Amino acid sequence: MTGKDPGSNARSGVNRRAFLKGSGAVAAATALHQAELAKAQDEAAVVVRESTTIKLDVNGAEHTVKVEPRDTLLETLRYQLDLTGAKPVSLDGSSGACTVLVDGKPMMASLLLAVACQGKRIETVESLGGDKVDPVVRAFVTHDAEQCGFCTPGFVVAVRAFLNKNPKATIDEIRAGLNGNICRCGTYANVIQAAVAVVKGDVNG
Amino acid sequence: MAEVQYTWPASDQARLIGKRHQRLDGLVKATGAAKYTYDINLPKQLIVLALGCPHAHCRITGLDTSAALKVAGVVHVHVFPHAEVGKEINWEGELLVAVAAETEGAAMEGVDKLRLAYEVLPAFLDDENLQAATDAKLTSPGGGRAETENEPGDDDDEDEFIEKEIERLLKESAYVVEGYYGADVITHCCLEPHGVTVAWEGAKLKAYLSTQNVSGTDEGFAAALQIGPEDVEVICQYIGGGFGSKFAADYWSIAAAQISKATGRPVKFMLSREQELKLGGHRPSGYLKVRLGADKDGVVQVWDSTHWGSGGFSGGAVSQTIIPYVFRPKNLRVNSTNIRTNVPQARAWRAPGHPQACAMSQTAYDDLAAKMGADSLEVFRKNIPNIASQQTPEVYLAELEIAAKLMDWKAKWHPHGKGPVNGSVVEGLGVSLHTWGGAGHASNCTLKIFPTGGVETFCGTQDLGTGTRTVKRSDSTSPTCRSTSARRSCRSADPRAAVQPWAAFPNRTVGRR
Repeated sequence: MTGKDPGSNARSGVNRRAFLKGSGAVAAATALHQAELAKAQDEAAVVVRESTTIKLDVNGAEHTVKVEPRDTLLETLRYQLDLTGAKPVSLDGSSGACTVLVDGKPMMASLLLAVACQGKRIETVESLGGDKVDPVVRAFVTHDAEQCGFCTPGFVVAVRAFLNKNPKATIDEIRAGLNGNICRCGTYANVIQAAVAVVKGDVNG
Repeated sequence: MAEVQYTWPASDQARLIGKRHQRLDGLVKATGAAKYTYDINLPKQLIVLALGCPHAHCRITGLDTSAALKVAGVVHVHVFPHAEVGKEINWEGELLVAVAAETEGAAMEGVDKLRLAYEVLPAFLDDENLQAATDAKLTSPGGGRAETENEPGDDDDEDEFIEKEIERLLKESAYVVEGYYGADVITHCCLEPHGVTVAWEGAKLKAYLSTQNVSGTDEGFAAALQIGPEDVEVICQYIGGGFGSKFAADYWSIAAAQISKATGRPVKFMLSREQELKLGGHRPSGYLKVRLGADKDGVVQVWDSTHWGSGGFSGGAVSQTIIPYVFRPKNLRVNSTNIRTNVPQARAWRAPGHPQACAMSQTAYDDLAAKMGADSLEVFRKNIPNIASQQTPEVYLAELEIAAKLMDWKAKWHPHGKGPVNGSVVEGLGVSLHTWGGAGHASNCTLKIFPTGGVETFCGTQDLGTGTRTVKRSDSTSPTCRSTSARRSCRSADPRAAVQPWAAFPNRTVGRR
């Protein structure tokens, strides 16, 4: 090895430790504390690779999966169960595209470790389709609330979760309640219309 | 085969055009059933992640992949040819080494174990700073032009004459606006990053590529892999955004095919979010200084501007030919400069250069309205006779009238700076004119009609979310199959079926001919 800047991979964009530090796990620490913590983590870091067989309750069915401690719920859903509705847009959860319901609450699947989801009820966007299509899905179709569609599953689950909790939400409440999801194509207006239609019980309108 | 003539019905008799339809792929997108490139999981596929260069400009001085190869689950390490020791890297994020592994976690750990050394070199990134770019010798002429109503005499020096005319006209103007306007680089930011899932079937490559260009990227793979285009099948039924940035096979997708060949396994190689923002495409910047002179009615009589910007490592500012945008005063002088920066080359973005040109030049017209204390819409209307556009003044005026009515411009307009203020949010109202060279054109698709009445259509364009798939089905099935209830399906991006295929360029969306 030669040169002036050896071994600098810190900005490669795929360092999971850096992502965890940036995700708020140590948000309360001072910058100095963070540096010390990172150093300590580097020195103490031991990658546990042993896979564990666990059971996950996904969309009402029990699934047996083999995961490493570091595997996220998103990876497990997408690669082991081929449930690819939740999308890996941003690993830090800032896009909302990987929203799933965990015990009825909207969560970012990229921020959950699969092993931590044992015993919890996980519902993905796929559970809102099938033979009995959820009114939120129907409203999205009727109100043309998607373009490229990559963010759409996250929005659908977020709307479902929000309206479960706020079935009579106003348009302003819906707008505020969905601020964890982003759409690059700009379908926001139609997403709001779809959610309002569900509140009104007018999913075809 | 007999040729069937079809004539579009009158608007009031049309059954499809002008009517509201549900998006054909709405349900599969809203339920997560639509399979994008990122969602294609092939048996025994490897996951590839790559190390991006941490410096905007450097030379690779050392490279050690041995630790990465020892990581459990890592199957293969691929060093990009442009990243070999001694090579110069000209922008941050450039992929250097890719790691193929059984899982994302293993690939991530493998990338973390790569050890590279760099000699950091000077980099230039301040594309707004024309003086600094000039001092660094990173500029090149972007061209310019001058037009005046009065012609120089035979004995006049043309440049001197233009200079005097411009100054005279500005001096005689009832209103003069001096402005500095700009639009920074912005990234395409496709929510589905660039990438591919590939598999070899013998000597043939099947590439599930996130692309707007299924009809052309086979040649990109073929040339790089030294196989024939007929040996490459590019598939993209759904695309998570492209915006002009997904026309090429791209070197990381070529690498995916090479890794797949080397390992004998399917490979998925998608850029990370950070890499997507750095490598996946951006729009050039544009900065403009202008002096504009108008008569008492607000009709611009003279325009004098210089602008600059950067499209990245190969330069490329907004073309001087579209400044000022749409409007064309009778007297003008335009000059432009390209700046080279240490970022990847820009990619196409919806009417390349036009949004920036519009923002930079028409904001000056709006500032003219502000200076006059006049309604911006009225100032625009008064200047519409002086345009250079594919569109006629009459059409622009009619469009403005419709738009103003629809948005209730009269009721909403307020003098500049006098709009509602809500905390740090100040509301405003604006108007701009646009133009582009796109138009309807011939294209082919394959239509299959089954004995059961089912219909299937294939074409080589991509539905970016524009509804192409829906329109195509409606159009192709309307003459013959309007009453069928049998299965109808529509594949939007099938290169095999398109005799005269078209990539999904923004100016090639569907239209009525």
